[in-house]
Amino acid sequence: MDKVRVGIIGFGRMGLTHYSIINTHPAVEMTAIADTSSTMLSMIKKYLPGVTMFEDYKDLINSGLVDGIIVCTPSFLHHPVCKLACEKGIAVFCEKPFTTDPKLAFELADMFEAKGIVNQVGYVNRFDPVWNTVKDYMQKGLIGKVAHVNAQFYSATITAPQKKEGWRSKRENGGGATYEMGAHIIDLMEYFFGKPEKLYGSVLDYIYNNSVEDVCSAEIGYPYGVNVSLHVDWSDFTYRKPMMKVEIMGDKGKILADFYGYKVFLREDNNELGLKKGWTTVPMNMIPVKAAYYVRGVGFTNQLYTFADAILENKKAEGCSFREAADSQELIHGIFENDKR
Amino acid sequence: MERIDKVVFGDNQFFGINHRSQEKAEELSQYFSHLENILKVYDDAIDCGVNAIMLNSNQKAQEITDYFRENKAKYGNLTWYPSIPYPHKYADMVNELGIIPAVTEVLFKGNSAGGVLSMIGKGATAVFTKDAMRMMEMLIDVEYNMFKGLDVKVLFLQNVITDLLLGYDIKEVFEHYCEYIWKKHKVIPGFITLNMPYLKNKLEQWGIDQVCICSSINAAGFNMYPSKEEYERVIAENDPSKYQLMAMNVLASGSITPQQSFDYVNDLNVQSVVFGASSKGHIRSSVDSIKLKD
Repeated sequence: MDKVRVGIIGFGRMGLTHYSIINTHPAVEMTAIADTSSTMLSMIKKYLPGVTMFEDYKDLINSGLVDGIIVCTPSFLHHPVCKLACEKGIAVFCEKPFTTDPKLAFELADMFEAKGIVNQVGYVNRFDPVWNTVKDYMQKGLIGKVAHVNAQFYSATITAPQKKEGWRSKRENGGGATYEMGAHIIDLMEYFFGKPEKLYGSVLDYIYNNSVEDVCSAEIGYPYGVNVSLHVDWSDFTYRKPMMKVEIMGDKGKILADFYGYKVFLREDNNELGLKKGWTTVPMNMIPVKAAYYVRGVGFTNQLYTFADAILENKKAEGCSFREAADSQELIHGIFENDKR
Repeated sequence: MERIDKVVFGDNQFFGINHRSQEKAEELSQYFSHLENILKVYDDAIDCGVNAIMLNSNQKAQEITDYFRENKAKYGNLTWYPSIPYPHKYADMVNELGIIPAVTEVLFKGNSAGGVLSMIGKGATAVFTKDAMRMMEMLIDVEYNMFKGLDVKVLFLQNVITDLLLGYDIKEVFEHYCEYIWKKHKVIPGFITLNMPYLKNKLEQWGIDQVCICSSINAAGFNMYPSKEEYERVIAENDPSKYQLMAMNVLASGSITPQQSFDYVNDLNVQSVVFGASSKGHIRSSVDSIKLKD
């Protein structure tokens, strides 16, 4: 294949951004958009003459116009959209959270694996240079055996009682602090440490919302005895911008990382990686970054380029697979069910 | 196209943007939530020889431009390089409401940016959402309102919007934007971008010039996509009578000294540098270090 035809289902904020990014890939040809808003479709139609507009996603999938689709609908639609795409042999890049039901998530993973169809979920941190570096350091044994991790995500998303019911106030749409933010951490931990083994407990707090949680805490066990304390709060009004913070404690050192860079503490020099004993601070602008185009962040570009390349070269996409996203889904489900409060 | 100022004073330091330390940025942001602290820095900058100011149309900008309009006698010869829009405002609204409702909210609900209710009257929502270009013109006017009456040289489109639109590869959008800025507002159309080589290539392809392009240009290659090498090639080959280039994020180069950072840009075929600083000492040394050719 030397060209890949891509369609987008759900043309909201994520759909708009994904279109812009993947359209810069030299081998990608955008051929279709599906959205329920006819206003949106009629407005953009005349400027995108090569793109066919659909009001029903089924028509897009059945059109024969696409080799791959990017799914940016509300979460409860992910399962039927992905399922139909699989039946038609179409590769899928699906936004997070993958589904809101682990059974359906595993069903999709099984289906796509059985047919060998490219599948990827938009957990963008796997393509972020900070987290890539942290993983690389751990794999090279920089901080030795990892024992404990504090992983946090804060934002000022909901800081007052909600007057109107938006998509954020419904769990089936991916609303709530756990789906919106916790899911990113949970995926990052699977990327770092493998499939989660045990949920020791969880606590959800409802500060401003009655329908979905504003705060989520959980203790999670990973292979090789790694324990993760997860804490997510989307009602922290002291944060101007969302901030993810990870602190990884090993027996030879510690790594602190966030969206702005990382710090490493070592008990001894590490000559292989050129890092000295004590603290080393590396801000974001000093971390080598590669991306062909930039709209929202390097990760957003590289995850979509990876998806397009996987279709072109008929290989597995390197990002979060449906299988791994299903693992996350199962854990998130457990967090809801085991809520001790 | 009129030559742009070689030295332009930016606004990142006021609004919590710092590529090296977020904590430092938050601290400064709190200090600069008081207008008088911002104005003091502007006075220092002008004292150090700054004649040109770049300012994003965020919530604070209205107060700043009000002050400079009211005190025109004191700051007579300042030139302005506004950038529009303030992207976070739109990002949050689009996230909550969806794109069309967000845009109509900005245009018709008379928000802080001005609203166009007074300009066109109610009931026009449906008509304008059918005409994307007219909608773009109205959004430009709403955002540009706060800079009216100032001596504006370039009106920049903020990078989040430039780069988002650029990815769509629609000639008409860029053509229409530039023509509108030239004709209606009679200033140089400008684009801020993190993809300068890609943008310049597209503009050339589309036959659009007489444009100012502002992009990160620094020795570290920070925020220069696809690569520093590609930037250097495009900058060397550029004809400034068609595209004037402004460098931002010059100091984001980490381990080398500020003087070395400025020297990197001084040696390139760049027409202007925008920099930000909050102490008078840093402002002075930056102004003294910018020695662009021609």
